[in-house]
Amino acid sequence: METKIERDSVILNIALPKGRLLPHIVPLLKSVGINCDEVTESSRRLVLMDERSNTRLFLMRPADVLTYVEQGACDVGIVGKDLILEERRDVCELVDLGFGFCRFVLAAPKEVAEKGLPGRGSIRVATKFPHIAGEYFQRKGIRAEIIKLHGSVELAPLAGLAEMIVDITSTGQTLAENNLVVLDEIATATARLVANRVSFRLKSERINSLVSKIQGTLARVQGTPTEAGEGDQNANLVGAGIS
Amino acid sequence: MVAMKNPGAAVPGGLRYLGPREAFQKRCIEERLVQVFVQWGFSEIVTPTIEYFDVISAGMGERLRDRMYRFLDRTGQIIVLRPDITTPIAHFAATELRDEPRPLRLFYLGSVFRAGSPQTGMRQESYQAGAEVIGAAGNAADAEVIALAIQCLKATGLQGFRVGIGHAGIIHYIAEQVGLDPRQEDLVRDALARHDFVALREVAGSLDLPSRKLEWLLTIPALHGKGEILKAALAPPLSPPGGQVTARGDGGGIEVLHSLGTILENLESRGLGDFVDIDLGLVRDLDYYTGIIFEAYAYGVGRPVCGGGRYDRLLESFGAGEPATGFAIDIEGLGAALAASAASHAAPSAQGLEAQGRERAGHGFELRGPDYFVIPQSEAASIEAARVAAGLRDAGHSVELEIVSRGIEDSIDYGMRRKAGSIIIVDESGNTREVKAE
Repeated sequence: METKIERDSVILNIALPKGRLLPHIVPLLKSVGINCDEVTESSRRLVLMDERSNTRLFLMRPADVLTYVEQGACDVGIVGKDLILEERRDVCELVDLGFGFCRFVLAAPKEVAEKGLPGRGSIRVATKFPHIAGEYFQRKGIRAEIIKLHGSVELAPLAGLAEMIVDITSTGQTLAENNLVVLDEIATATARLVANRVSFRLKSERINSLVSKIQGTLARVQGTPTEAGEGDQNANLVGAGIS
Repeated sequence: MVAMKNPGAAVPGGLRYLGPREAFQKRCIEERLVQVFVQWGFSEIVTPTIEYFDVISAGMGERLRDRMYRFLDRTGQIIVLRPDITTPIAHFAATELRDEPRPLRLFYLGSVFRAGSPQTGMRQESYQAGAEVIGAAGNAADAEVIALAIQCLKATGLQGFRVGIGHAGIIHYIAEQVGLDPRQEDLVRDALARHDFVALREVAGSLDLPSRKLEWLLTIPALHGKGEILKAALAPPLSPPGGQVTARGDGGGIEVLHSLGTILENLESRGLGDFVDIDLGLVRDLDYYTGIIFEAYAYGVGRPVCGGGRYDRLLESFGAGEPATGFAIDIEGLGAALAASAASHAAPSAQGLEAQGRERAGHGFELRGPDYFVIPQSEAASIEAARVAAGLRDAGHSVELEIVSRGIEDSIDYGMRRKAGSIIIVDESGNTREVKAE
């Protein structure tokens, strides 16, 4: 009889973020043979088992995916590079999924932006990403007081809480609507497939097979060979501070 | 001040008290490990919890150095809570133990401290058991140490674990074969240290390599398996696949692969082949490793339960260069793996997450009640009861003696709740009767 350890050694637990990445994730998982008909933004069920592919899907907030994967509660997960850069958790980063593109930018109201980055003195910067912002200013040699916020960072300069913000943006629309202009681009980010370090070894067959299937799908979508297409889009990330 | 209002919660994040059950489990694991260490000829040593920063930061990577708890002592020197025990042992071996016959075989039990974000589920104090062999170079020493690590894990009853074996020199070998300069080699090493295969592809893609070299560079770190992957790694990137084995280089790189092959054979000949894989992408988070490195993985725990390797240059920083190799086991991680492993064997048919959650409560080592609970019938019988208890203890049983004056019924109730194997009532003349559980 099959013991639970044997069963667990082949079942794959995947952490999926609700929100902006989910509409991209569902077709990707379908293309690699994982049934996710019940995976919707409004799904009340948070755990979905697909018996046929022996996969268990966990729906959660994007910010929690890295925690589940790092602790090994989930074997793999899909999460934005923005969170990976900010959280610096110990996980294996396996595939750049290409979707969910966004940019980390330094932005400020027009009046402030016209003066450019301050040469000396300190500025107050509001952000949801204190690590990334702090590292950026350190690199630039600018003294900055980082103010951690949990959302609607655009509000901070309007209310006089901070002079500038560091935030992610995909189209720049929200920034523009709030009279903010981009001063500098700090990094870009896309969604990544990540794996727990231990799962990556103990369930290597399942994870490697998932990786190569996903790379196959991505290659078909992009119409380019797997390796070549992937490196270029985000080559600037390396220079931009994750190394 | 908030903490003072609620003393129950007054523990800094990432630290914890171990209750009787958890402490018992830890004790059982440690006892099994100590037994194995002693069987293999290792002697225990104890190092201080607090050390000088200057001494302990030698050979330590920046990442770990940043995570040390630092203080100033009364003379203004920077002192730290030890973030690992290997470095203090290396220091001790190079100084106090320098006249002892080599190789030294040492083991330790103790806590290490690493500051971290307390809300990420990471421990700031972790309990380690480890072994170090100092003064022995060569594959036989590495194989012995890995075999010992496997034996330690087996001795605790852990099932279904795997040990990945790599080499700190693999990346240099790859760089040599592909023709990377030191800066490019660092980029590759950095990507692999973060387990970031996306960055590895980006770095590789930016190097302007011929496609076969590029493919080779991306393939080798992803290889793990048995001896056959060493053949793949030995085939140089420019020869056609399956071509003759003539890798280029100064010999150092090829030596790395031969070491891995020899150690794998050694472990296979000991019947341990099923536990090990060669893992050419393995990178450990301490900078002092110079040779063979390894990690053990178990189901139910998201981080390695054991890790170690060769650190031939660490002792140099303490004055006497000597080859050395060793490992540390994460006791708490091992406990969690044992609980997961015990649960899966106790309830193989359990379905669903709810069942899984319940199983997690199970332990590999269960704390039981005393063999006997001895109750004096009355105040006057207390001397006789103590005598009975002493007799049972002399016979090797664990015995709790009732030391509170309460009604017999209350005493029996206590004995039941303590899950005593047997409850015995003693009268003034020393007569005993056993209370039958209902």
